[in-house]
Amino acid sequence: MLKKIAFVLSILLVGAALGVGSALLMIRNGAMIGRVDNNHWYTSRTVGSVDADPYTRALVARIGLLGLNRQETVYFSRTEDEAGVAFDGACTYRIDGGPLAARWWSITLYAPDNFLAVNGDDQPSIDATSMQPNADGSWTARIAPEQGDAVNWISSRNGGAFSLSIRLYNPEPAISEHLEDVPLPAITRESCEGAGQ
Amino acid sequence: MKKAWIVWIASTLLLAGVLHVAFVFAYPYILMNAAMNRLSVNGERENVWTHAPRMTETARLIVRPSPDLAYSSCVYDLTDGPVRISVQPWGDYMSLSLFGANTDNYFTLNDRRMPQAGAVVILRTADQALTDEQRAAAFDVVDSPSARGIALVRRLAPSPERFAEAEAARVQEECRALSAD
Repeated sequence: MLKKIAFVLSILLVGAALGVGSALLMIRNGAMIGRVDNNHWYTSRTVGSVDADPYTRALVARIGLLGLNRQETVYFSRTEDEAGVAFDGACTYRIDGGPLAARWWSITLYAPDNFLAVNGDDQPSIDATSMQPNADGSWTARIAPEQGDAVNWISSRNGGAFSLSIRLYNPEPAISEHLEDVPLPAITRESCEGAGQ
Repeated sequence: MKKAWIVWIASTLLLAGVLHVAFVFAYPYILMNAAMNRLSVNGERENVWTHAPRMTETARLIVRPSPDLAYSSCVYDLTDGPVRISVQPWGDYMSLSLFGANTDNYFTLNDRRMPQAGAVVILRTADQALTDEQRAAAFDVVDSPSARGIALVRRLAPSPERFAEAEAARVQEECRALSAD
């Protein structure tokens, strides 16, 4: 009798642990079916969409709850620089961007907890309305713990292993239909004072 | 003994498979429900707009908020009938978007599609009837896939000045049960 109970109980425990554990692993590790990679930026074709598969929906619920579908807004995120090295809030990066075929865009820095970094700087983002582009439409900005001489600055102070999101509102088909190869800003690490390199 | 092991492994894998699928399906509902409870202060503020202050580093309600947008949210509950949502015009990007209990963004109306004077949208479940007057007064009638969900307004307001203007516009907006008329 006792053996039978142990038999059933062990099935329940191990089965539950395996089932829920593997599901959480899939959701947390971003097993995003429909994921699109574009030069270190990534997005999903199905964010907010009623076509989203269960894994994408679960992942989006965790990292992009209440996000809009891609006809309205395209969101890309990234966690690493051009060399593929994870972002570090103590380092200085240069963003090189060009014109973006959207009505409005912004780039925002998030701490690893997916909220704005707590640093008192009130400079968590740059956006199309505040950007001063060059004559050819290109622009540069800096991500660093200090503003220094940068005109366009995103503060990375207390950002730790931060991530970035670019929002492209009312994107033209050049973006929403070409997620994998539309030109997006490049982000290069310039220096890393005070950080463990 | 050998047979018992086969039964054990098969049962465990079957249970794991069923729970895996169930958990992945349930996960968005659980998170959405938690978000609805947070935004409605545990159901106390349903069918009414809640206007969020400017998104700063202290905001913790919704993950990855944009500091350049003014957000208003209304957790709706259609259990007692349809809900009327009105939005004011805004001289820049704005959108009203609706999210079902499974997190899907099933409806979006932005300022490009919106009448210049703003818009009234009536939200109902498919089985709820409207009078002709109620229908005529609405720019759109939308069927919600679930009884509860979230309506969200985003207004582009990247500066404190624009944010103050957004605040003046949004206090005139309505999210209200038709039965409360």
